[in-house]
Amino acid sequence: MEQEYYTTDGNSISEEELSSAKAKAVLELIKNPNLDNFFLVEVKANDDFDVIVFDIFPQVPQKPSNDIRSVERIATHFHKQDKERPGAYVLRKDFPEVKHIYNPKGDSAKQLCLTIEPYIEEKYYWTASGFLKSIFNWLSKTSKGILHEEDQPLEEFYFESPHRILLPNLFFDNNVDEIDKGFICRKLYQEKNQTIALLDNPDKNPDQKLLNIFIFETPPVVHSIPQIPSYKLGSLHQELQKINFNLASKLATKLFAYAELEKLNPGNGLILLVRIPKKRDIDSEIEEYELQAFFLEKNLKETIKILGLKTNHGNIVLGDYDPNNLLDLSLLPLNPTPYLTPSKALEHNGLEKDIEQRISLIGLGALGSQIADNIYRSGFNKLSLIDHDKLLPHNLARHTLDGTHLGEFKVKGMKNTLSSIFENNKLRTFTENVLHQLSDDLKQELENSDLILDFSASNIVSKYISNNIVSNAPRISCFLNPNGKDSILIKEDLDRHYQLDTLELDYYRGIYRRSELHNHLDISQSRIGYAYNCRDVSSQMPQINVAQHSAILSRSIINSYNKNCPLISIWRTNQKGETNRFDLACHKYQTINHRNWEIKISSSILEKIYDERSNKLPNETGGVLVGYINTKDEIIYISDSLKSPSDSIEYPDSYTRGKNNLLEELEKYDKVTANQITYIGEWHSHPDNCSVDPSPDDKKLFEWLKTYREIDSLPPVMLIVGDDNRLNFLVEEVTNSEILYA
Amino acid sequence: MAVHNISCFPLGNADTSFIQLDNDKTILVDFANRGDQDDEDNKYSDLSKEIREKLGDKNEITVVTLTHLDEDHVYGFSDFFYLEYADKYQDEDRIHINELWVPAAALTEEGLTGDARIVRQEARHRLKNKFGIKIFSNPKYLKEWAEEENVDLDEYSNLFVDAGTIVKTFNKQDDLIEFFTHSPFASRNEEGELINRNKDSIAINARFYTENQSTTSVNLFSDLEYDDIERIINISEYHENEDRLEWDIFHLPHHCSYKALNEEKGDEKTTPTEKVQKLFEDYYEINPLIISSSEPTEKNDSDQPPHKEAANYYREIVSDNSGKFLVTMEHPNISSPEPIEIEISDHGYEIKKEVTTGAATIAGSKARRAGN
Repeated sequence: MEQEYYTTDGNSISEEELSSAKAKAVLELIKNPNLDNFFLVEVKANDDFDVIVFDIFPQVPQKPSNDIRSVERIATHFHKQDKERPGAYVLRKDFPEVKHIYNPKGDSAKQLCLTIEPYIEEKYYWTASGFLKSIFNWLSKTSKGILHEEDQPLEEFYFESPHRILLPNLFFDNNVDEIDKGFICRKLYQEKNQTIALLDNPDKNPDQKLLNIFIFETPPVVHSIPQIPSYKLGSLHQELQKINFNLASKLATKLFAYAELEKLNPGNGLILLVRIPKKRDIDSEIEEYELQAFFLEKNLKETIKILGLKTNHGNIVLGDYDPNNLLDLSLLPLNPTPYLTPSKALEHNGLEKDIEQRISLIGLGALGSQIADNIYRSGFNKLSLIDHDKLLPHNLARHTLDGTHLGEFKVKGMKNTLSSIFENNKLRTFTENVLHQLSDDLKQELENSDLILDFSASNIVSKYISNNIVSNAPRISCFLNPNGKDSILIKEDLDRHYQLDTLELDYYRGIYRRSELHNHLDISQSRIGYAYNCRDVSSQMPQINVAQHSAILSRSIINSYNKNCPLISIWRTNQKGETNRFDLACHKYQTINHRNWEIKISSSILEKIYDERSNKLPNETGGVLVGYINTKDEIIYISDSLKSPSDSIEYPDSYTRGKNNLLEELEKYDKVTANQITYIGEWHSHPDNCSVDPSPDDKKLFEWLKTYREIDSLPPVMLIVGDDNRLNFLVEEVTNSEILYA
Repeated sequence: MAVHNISCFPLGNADTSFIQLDNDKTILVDFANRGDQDDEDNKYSDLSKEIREKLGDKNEITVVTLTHLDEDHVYGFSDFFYLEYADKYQDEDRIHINELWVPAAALTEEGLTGDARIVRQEARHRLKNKFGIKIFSNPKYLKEWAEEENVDLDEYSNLFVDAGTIVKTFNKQDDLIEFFTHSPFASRNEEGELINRNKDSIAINARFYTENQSTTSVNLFSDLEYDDIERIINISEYHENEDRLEWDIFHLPHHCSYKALNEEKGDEKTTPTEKVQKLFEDYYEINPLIISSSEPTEKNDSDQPPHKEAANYYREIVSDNSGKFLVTMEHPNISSPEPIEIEISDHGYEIKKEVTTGAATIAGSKARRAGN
């Protein structure tokens, strides 16, 4: 039987008469002998379009799912001024009603839906080859029924309306049939023929009249070709009748009941929400629900009147009541869009949906504000923001807040900005300096936190929150180096076996050990303004560096916050924006209480000292201890030891520490760590079977140390190491108390 | 969904089909590596390259079937495969054969040279060592040969495959395929007929399954002639194995020779014998696919296949029934033939098509010489 085709509009023309460049390109390609799958039929044109008709030979299997033939006739339309996307129409009259066709049911050639990209964008990469391939693929895949993949979402019941209504998420709860709460239209934008309405809780604007909202649920439908949304209640009613739902009658019943109860606001409009349960196949379960919204343009009073109801002294009177009266009413179809929720944000960010971390965030400067913004938008919504500064003009160069918040406390500005992101916010703010006496509320908050983040750019704060805050939450401290090229993340393990104060010492030790990091804390350049702290972000530092490192640090926080391991990482960017990561070793520290001092010494340093002692036996040996002294809390940190200088004198019964290169090495440590790691004291070994009590010579040495350390207002420290890993720390005073190290 | 693939390579009048099952097992039916990348006029596939690409990081083919020992079915065998019988064929980059399928005649034929001789030696080695081989049919002449070689064939019964049975190397459950053997049959020689390579070659019906029990059948009929085919039909019908004659894809015997259809070539079109016509016209269900592994059929006037008269008959079958007749050296066009790539799934067979990109072609070819 002869195949019947739709004819295409236009007159036959010669190939030279084509005016569209795209049509010419397609024609050339169809005629290209290297392409086997296309065969030219005719070239036509009408007033606005060039038309090329050709046969295409798609890849069709032996037993196709849809009736796509191994030869199909296609008419392609090209707007002569390229004002419209080139279209492809399949001309066979009995072409099946399949998905991804614009006009599936009409009595005309069916137009293939080839792409969802806006044509204004597609123009930049459109090629004749790509266009023909997309037609080929459309037909080939449709023949196997795989154009709409099994794991693809179900087709929409309605094509997307250009108008939108933003709705609270409770409207998308498929079990909700009545909304008891009232809602207002918070904002309404009507621009360029597009309407967008924002529905919100009335507490945002208590004076505004509440909207009338009705929810309907239709019987389930099997997903198929989307329909164009209706602008008349009559046509909506008819469409829904096809799926066995009588909208007019249901609406009339609701209006009647509500009018009687006087629940409605007669002066306001009515929003119809139609919920359509959708299945993939007739036998499958309901897979999802589609919500469609329609705004009835007449106000409620008029609508009730049209329905044929009258109110007489507060009573409802049946006039010419007939649900069909409603069918002439005009509608505005609105595409319902839920507000963002944290779980949706987590999903958009590719994260687990059930993250419920309560995070305290200290310091909302440039880095803190940008990381807070990143992690909040990622879905970590339970944030407590802690900062005591106000936003000043110089902050705007690198802060996430804008000028409308100048003069405000940063926490307040941040809360105002972030709170609009999610439908509900769980932000808390504390305008406090954590180094001062904390409010009970903040103490409670920190104690209940699951994670404490420190972006204060102060090593004092990180030490303080390490030791002085009551909370089991692991701490993470992030900061930038003085020139803003490197960022640093120091993270505790979940059990806090490694704590921020000692990890910071390992950080200094790590940069001293790696020569490429020796300029990491160089503060000789790029200082401006009033700041003098080496880690103060008010030094000269481009916003682009802050932004780049904020992103890097945010990623690292999100990736590692729930991992039970400590971390010291440095990311270094160069002028090209390339980043290198350095991971530095983390060590456990041994805490020894000695008189009124607490000594925290790196376990790895103790091991090193034991090894050096053993290696030198039967001689004694020794060296210099370096670290940091917290005079406020009286903590001595020992993070490293310097080797016995080459001119030291080592005998079985004595050790005289030499001086070769020692001062230079200490100065280097001091410089590389920006004065953070300095001389702490001396250590030396005693031979086997010897006490670790100080000998008379040791006592003289200690007194000598004490004389000079008094000038520094710091305590002398001496460590004697014996066999079986026995230790004796002498701090401030000579003591014989022996401390065993297990 | 299970998807199997078959590739038929353009090699002129020569056969090589490569099957990749959904579970990644592979079957090579014949091997005729006639491609020459250094000769720009040689349009044949470079089998070494093509098969290695398809194997990916594997270096073994599950089954290599050599239907018979003609050069156009075994050419280049000794250059490509790792052979167990001699060290000199055991370089590291050679492709291993897990199981070799050969007709019984391949073991006994004397006076062989080249690749045919090497196939025979490898087959004998594998048989004597009782591993990695299936011998198709167990005729009297093989028994005589075995006696001379002091080989007790009774110990080797599991290595033999009789006509009319399914080869046990694969099973339907795990592999979603069955190979049914139509030929060779031992009785042919026992009736007094002389050994003949073509007539004693392996002919099989491969039935592909999917999890949804959709089946697609392929007849691979080597170089059989019409009387061999008639015999197969008679025997199959006699034993009620007609379903194993059914086909969706027919890989034509003997490169589209008219002799597969009838004794006479015919003027414009070969008219098949009644029996053969029944096979070609009654034993497919829908949209048949016929493949001729041959040179282009149109312009050939020589006595050698392909015969355009036979091709005309096949074209008539498919044009009446929305099927396809493909010639390896004409696909997708005569100027630059490419392997016929067939996918088998719930949708039956499907010939893969590509809308080629220029860049891929350039990058996939040796560039022409530049300079002056």
